[in-house]
Amino acid sequence: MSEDLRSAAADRGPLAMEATGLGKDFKLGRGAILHAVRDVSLGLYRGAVVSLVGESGSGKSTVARLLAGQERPTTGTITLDGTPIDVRTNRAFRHYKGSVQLVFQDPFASLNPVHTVGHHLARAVRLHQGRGVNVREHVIGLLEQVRLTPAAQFLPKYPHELSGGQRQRVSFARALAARPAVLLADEPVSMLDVSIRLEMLNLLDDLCKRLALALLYITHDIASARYFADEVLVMYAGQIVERGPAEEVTQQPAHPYTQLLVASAPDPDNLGSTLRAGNGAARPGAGGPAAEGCPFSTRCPLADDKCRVENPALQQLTPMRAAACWRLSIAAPALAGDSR
Amino acid sequence: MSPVLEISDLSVVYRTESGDVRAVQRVDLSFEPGEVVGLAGESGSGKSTLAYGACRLLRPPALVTSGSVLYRGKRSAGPVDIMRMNAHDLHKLRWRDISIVFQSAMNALNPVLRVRDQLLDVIHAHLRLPRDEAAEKAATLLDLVGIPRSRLRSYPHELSGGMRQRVMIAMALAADPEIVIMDEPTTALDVVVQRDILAQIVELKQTLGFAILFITHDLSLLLELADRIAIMYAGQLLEIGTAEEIKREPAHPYTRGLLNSFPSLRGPRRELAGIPGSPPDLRYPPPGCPFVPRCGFAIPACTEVDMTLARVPGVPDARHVTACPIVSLSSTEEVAS
Repeated sequence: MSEDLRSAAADRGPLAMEATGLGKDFKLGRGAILHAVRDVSLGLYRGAVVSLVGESGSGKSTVARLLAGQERPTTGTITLDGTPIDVRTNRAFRHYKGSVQLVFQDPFASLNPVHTVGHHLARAVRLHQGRGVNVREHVIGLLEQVRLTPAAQFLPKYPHELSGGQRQRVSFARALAARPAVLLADEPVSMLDVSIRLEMLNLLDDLCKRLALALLYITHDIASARYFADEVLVMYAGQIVERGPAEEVTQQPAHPYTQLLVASAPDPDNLGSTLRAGNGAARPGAGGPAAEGCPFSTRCPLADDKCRVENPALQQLTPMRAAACWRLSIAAPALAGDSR
Repeated sequence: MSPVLEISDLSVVYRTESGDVRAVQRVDLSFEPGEVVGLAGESGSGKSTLAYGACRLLRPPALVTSGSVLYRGKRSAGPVDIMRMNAHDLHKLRWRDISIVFQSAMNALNPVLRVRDQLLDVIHAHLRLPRDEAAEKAATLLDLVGIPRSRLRSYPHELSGGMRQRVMIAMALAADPEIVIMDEPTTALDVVVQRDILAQIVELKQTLGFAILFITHDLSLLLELADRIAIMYAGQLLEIGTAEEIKREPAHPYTRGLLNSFPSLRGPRRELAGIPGSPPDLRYPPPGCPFVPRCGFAIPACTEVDMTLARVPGVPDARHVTACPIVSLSSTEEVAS
């Protein structure tokens, strides 16, 4: 990747976390190796939202786990405020957790059903803020931050007494108890109802700006990334295939995979669409990622011999955009022209 | 054309220790032959309960307390009421006339049986075919949904999520039904696969001519797919209209809220609002319109209204109906804003 590619998120605030050349292999047995993440570089900036978009199995959650220190990368480095991270001891891990927090998709599974909201939060506060603090005051403050008010009413409640949205708010509050610099949100609204998703995203956005959090928003929903993120990174088969400012990537996608993603999203303005006309004839079962060459070459309409042999690197298109594709001159002629 | 299925005044409650949960309240909904009807609503709004209740697939503590479901199929002489059918007729009706693609197809297949055996199960249960014809039928069903015949010998875990969903659809089409109920058939799938499957469903529908009840929480999907859309909230239907009407002239404030809740990928960036608050507890449904606590337009009369679907004034289509009293009281100009 070009050194002078600038992140669209960098305008928002200082760099909090940076990953360079991150890779993770999993051994599958019989000598087979799964390259779950390959050469991923990204920067998270305070007060900015970076979105990682991809389908299931693309490696986006593995990236989150690597950044959270829950998996050790096979290659690459992660720095937090300029210092390379080291989570090999419990002590270092706990210290790291104070700065980097992870929020999961399923608020039904991530809270312990036999403990109250107050217990969940008090435990996090004691763990991260030490013994000298007024725990109750802290917990109330956290609940107010995620707008669960009146806060005192929520303290004695058990997870089953809360709606999905309220549970996810408790998860957010628990993450905030550590006063993190970086929040990694892995599909934080996918399990919630459509009518409350937006409220949750607005809440996250608000927290991100108000507390100057560096937020990584992982999602399969590229439309929500358009509204919510500053920079969008599109992942396919463990690699970043395209990155750039959210509006530009979603409105003028360069990589054939991003183009496919955008074209596949339901389009409410498209009444009487290709779907109902029935000419979106079913394609043969799309193959998995290619083992050799560009991983998307098995599904790409533009793939040629070179694509099937050689894996393209990210190539800079504009000061803030890059895509990894050999056929950019055909896939995105307007952008490919600028790259020289 | 007379409707192939006519649900009238259907109510379902779940008996619980702390009182009856009114999951479905007095719902009317009908289907023309070959029509795609979308049922949109949030989780817990009663969409699945409505569909399963109409086929008498619910078990206690669920209880159908009122209503009739008239079915006029090509195989039956006159209209028959599913609610009054005996067990024998019901068994014949299910799957042959009305079949279901269940939610989370990922887990609906038996993990220890090969695809072929699961298809044969369905074929033997509902069609009387000699063994070799049944085997051929299983193979043609896979052809229908674009899965190679070699996959007959596969176990579910050897198939991708999209393929498993296709197997489920093939299974639902085994007896050439007139109505297929699809309960969130693509929710767990990636968008690209989702689109392929939807295109496949539409294509099959056009060749085979079945009607579809498509249940989902994703209204944006329905706007593209469905002929008519019913909006369900807290066990009741709040609005029914064609996809165009729902998109362009949504009458009920909840419908408008839903439309304003999902970010669009195309066109200019709109300000999105979402809907604050959460649905009511159906053990103690509020009087009148259940959306009142979250509604920005509510007036005192809303809590006294009898929730019946009435024609939206000023709209040429008599089938565009809503339960919102304000809409029927005021002029359409105010509503459109």
